[in-house]
Amino acid sequence: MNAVVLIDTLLLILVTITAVAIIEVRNLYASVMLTSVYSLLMALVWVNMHSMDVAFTEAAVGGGISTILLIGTLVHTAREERPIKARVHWKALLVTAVTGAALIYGTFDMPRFGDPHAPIHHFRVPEMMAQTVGFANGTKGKQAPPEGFDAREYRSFNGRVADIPDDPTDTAWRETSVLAQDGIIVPKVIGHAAHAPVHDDAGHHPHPADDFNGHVPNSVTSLLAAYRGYDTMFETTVIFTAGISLIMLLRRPRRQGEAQVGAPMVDQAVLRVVTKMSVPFILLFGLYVITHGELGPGGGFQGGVVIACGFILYALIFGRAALYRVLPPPVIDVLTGLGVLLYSGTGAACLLLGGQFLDYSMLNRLSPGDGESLGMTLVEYGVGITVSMVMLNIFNQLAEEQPT
Amino acid sequence: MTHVLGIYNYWIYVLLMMIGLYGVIAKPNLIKQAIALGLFQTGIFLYYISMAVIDDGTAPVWFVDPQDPGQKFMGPYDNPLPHVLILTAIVVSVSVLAVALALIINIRRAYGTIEADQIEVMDQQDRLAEFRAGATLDAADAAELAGVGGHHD
Amino acid sequence: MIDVQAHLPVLIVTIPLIGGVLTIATGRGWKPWAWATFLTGTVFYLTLRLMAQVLASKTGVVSYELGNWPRQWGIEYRVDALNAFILLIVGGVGFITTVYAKLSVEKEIPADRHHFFYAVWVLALCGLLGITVTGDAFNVYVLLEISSLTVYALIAMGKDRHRGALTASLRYLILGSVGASFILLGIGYLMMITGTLNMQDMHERLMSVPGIQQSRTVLVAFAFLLVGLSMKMALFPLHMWLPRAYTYAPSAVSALLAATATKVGVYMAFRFLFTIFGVGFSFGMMPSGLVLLGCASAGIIITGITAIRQTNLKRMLAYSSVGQLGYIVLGFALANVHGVAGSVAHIFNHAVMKGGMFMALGAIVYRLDRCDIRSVRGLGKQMPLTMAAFTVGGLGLIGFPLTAGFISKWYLVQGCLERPHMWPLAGVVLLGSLLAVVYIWRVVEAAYFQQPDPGTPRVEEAPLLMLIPMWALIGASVFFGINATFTGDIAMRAARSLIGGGP
Repeated sequence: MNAVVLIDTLLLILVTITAVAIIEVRNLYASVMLTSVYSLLMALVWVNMHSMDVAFTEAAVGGGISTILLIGTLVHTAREERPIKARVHWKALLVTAVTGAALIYGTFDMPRFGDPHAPIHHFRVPEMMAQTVGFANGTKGKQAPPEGFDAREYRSFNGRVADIPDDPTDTAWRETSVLAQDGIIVPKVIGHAAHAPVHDDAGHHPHPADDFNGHVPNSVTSLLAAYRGYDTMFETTVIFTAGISLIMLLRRPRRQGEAQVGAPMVDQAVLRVVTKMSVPFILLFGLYVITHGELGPGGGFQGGVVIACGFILYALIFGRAALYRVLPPPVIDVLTGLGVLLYSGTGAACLLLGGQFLDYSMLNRLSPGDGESLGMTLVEYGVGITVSMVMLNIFNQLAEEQPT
Repeated sequence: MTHVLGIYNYWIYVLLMMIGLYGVIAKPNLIKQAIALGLFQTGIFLYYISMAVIDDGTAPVWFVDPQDPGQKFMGPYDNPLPHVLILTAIVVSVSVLAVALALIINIRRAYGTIEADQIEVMDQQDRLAEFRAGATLDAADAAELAGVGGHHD
Repeated sequence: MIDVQAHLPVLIVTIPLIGGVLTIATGRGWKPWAWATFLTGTVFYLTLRLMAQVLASKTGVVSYELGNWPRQWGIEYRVDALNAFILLIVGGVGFITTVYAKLSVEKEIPADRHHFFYAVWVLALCGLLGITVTGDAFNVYVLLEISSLTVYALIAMGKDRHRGALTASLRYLILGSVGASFILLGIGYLMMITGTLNMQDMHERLMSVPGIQQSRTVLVAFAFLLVGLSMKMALFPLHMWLPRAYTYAPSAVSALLAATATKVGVYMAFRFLFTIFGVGFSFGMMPSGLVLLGCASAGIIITGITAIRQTNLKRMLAYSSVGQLGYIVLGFALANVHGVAGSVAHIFNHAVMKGGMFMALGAIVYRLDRCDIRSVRGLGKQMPLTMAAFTVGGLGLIGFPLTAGFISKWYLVQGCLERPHMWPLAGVVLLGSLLAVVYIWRVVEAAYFQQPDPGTPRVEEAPLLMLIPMWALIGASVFFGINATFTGDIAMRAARSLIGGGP
């Protein structure tokens, strides 16, 4: 039995129990804490499924930020849900039963869990995974493919094993396919071309031949920031919009002479000392996660949230007045927009340099792969700045309200 | 039967989604609805990530065997495309949650409660007052209005 | 410096994006509005040029690959006659509404929030434009979330006048998120089965891989996409969020939404049903044609009757909008060239008519602070131009000849008669027009033939800055009603490419 499926099942049983508890528990504070537990369990599920970036994001964003948001809201609303008469809502049960049945009906024709022959693993993703998309059509401005790179041999790899039988009910071949043993996601041709140097002028170390000169082993980041970088730009805009909307909906004009409220916990010796020691490391770690996102799991979102958490911790212990001395609210507002502008500005710079929007290879004419990598670093920083400042802003908005 | 064993974990995801959807429809408390919406969306994320998993696969970060650097990259790797999409979706989901919570705080200030059924009653009273102020009423209309109370969209 | 012509598709989206972010720095007073007007005006100009480019191109399609990645792997912007037309509508109405918004926003929204308000406003337009121009399925979802999120915030800004805006916005948020999640689910299923996210690519895979159309996963994907899109389009019976949202939102926001938000939802339906799944699958294999026709017809009639019972004029127009959307859905559910052309033409016509009518109501709110059937009495004499705009727009809703509404209804009826057994639908179309006559006549009668309540103060005509945009839109509806060659041609062209897109 597949180990991933086994652990998956155990974790998911825990997750389901937690989900039911979240819905049914009357005390809202308990519900919010269970949501945090739920996010942590989900992060474990993602780790089990080898999706490290997603696990990191779920833990930081789901477990960290969501909990802060919900607790901040609870302070201003209510602690308990009002008891309702009927224990089970029959209409809702009917709707969910019908929807669930439809979804289960749809799962019958899906490729099985872990199937290496699913269409998604064969059709367009191999080139993205191998980071040779720019070679596939000989796209102008990208890296030239190296000696011996045969696009025809590459593209004839369309996912079909030579001896798939025509009879659709004969599925024995799925168990014994040569491809399943061979690591199908990285096609054979890459092993030959990958270590051939593109250029070896003096001082320039030989790179593997791919779209980013080997600078980006983390293919999730290469997809996020380069191939689908446009989506990520809009995702950053979504966060920016959420931050602006919260200011618009919640910020009250500061009355003259009103002191910064916020009960600091500076009299708690242990908390104070530990915080003073930890905050620099937290901020440094956040910066590391953003910068290192190309080489391992990490990236702008995760790192940005970690940085925000460092500042929030500081504000909780030493009071928001202390935080505003370091980061005054106007600076936070400006930095929020700056991140999005950095991202779209990088894209615009590529446009002005003569390429398409977000074509990072324009940033370095001599070595397009290095340009691509530089572009990705810049946009990750943009994302990190916006995310951290928006999360901090949201915390400030929620903490600034008078509790009702 | 083997086919069912291969896809039953999709059914657990459907169950999670439906728990979330039930919470959104059934619970009148607005914060519960917001949390349940998040649960519903996590079920969908599970679908996406599970389509990325490959037998014996590992995280899609290239690495080479330190003992034998000349050989080709080790694999098989999981598919990175759904991971990217879900990163985006998680962040979008938390942004929507933030706006929802800001609205809920404002509703609490304006209505004094966060239970959807109580808010609905107050909304209908508002509409009734507006109807009375704005209609060209005659006696028949007024009588009908007194009885029509809760019948709205 | 750069070749604008070559980069039009991306400039249309990036300029509002960068400009929208910069709006928060514009300070107080009239500056945010001026900046927003400049941005939306530039975008409108660019959409005109894009339309010209599409019409002049040999293939009829303008394609733009972002990041210079080949389209099957990266994100592609793909503009044909349909997109270009809707971009033109969104860009044009966005610009005109922004000009109109200055006075309305000054009255209804606190002054220290204006720069945020206009930032979110411009970003909302960016999201709507982005949905329309993209050719990648997941990109549609991300931009859908941007446009939805900004709209939730914009609607909620009506909270200072009426607390109902908050519940309207929250309700829209929850229903809209469930709908968007269904769309995400559908996209995920499609990706699982086809292996790609580019719309053209998906279509080719769905047509070419044997047995894929019988796959249960594709079936369920189609069903959930349809449900999610119906929520976004506000198709009856999933329209519950719309009446309250349009009623309590600030007037400028109502005008913008009525003209653009649901239309972009319809455009998404076009792309998914016609471009990705193809006409053969969507309307041949699946019973979606009958389901859509049923919902649309029920919507037209029931919302028409509900509109008659309303006293709040904004709510009346909101129900009327749901009914008009029923017409649009009816058109494309017929799945023939005239039906789809009528649908596309009605998108344009309804956008200008409803936009203008909501602007008229906004002007009434500006002067009177209220907008119900009682306070409108006698307004025909006090605010003649405003009420005239409302009346002409109303004639368009009814489908009076010489207005744009007549053109689209004509196409729709033709489409109905072309399908065998579908002639009762022509009856539904006419019945909807009759219902529109009733609710428009109520307002006209109150405005022109009744006296205002004794003791109410006299009001002036609406200010010029409101009148000009209002009449720009209403004038467009009359102009394109008399001279229908442009809209008719584009609509037929779009319809032919949509229908011909699938086997």
